[in-house]
Amino acid sequence: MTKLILASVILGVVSGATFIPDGFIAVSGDLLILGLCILLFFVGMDLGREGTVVASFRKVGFRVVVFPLAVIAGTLLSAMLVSFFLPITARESMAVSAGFGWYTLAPVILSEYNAQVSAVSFMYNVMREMIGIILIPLVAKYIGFVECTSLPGAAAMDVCLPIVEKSTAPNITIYSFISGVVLSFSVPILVPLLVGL
Amino acid sequence: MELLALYLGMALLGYFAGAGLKKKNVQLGWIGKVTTVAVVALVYVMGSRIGSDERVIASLDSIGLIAFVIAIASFAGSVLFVFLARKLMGIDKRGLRNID
Repeated sequence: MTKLILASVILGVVSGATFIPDGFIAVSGDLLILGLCILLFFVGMDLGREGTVVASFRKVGFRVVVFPLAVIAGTLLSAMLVSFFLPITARESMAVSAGFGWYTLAPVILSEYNAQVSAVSFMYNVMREMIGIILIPLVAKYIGFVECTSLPGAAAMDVCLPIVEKSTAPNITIYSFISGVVLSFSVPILVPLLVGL
Repeated sequence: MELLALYLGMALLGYFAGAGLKKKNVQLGWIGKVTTVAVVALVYVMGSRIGSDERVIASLDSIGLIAFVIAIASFAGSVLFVFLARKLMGIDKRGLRNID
């Protein structure tokens, strides 16, 4: 899946740079909005069918939400701080960071805003997931089990769940899952909000 | 703000539709395929928008560096804030509450 997505992005960039007519680029914004609606509907449907979200919250109590909220605060604040040293505005930097590794959603939303920020967002989100995976065992070992669930962002609920479980203990998977769910839901809220879409 | 409401509305609509279908025990094997096709089409169109912008192509290396800096900062900020939250809540390094 990851290879398929990376291949489509690269193919898209190459065709955009070579043969795709400007007329298509002009209408592509509306296409993206339509596509995002379809995608978000089915992502929501997947979660609804699984039916484990509400049950998971009940199991550990709503205080587990504190951790994803801490991830959101820590991510946005640090992105704002580093923006002062980067050729990017604080709001743009925060919008990029608020993708939480969801590289098929956040850069598509930002595509409506600006192609450069969208490109930064895509690379950021791929790195957040890939480097996050590498860091999980290290952070689990040297800092703490709950902390390592914060690294991959949204992927903590699916792709990275087995890695978190192997690096920590079975009781941590629920923290990881909830963190991923809350962060995933915050992506379509925070990203447009931060750039004023 | 309109797009935000639209995106969130679609996700919630999907969630309730999914929960409803589960109650009726309806199996929809094609959802995964639809999602995959939608994702591939979306990232392709997004890529073509990026590729058609000459400024992006001219500055791909600095774009990568900016993304990397924000990513490293995000890891540090996330871990620090979760660490502080964990300490405040009296949960130990292994994710267990001290009173347990």
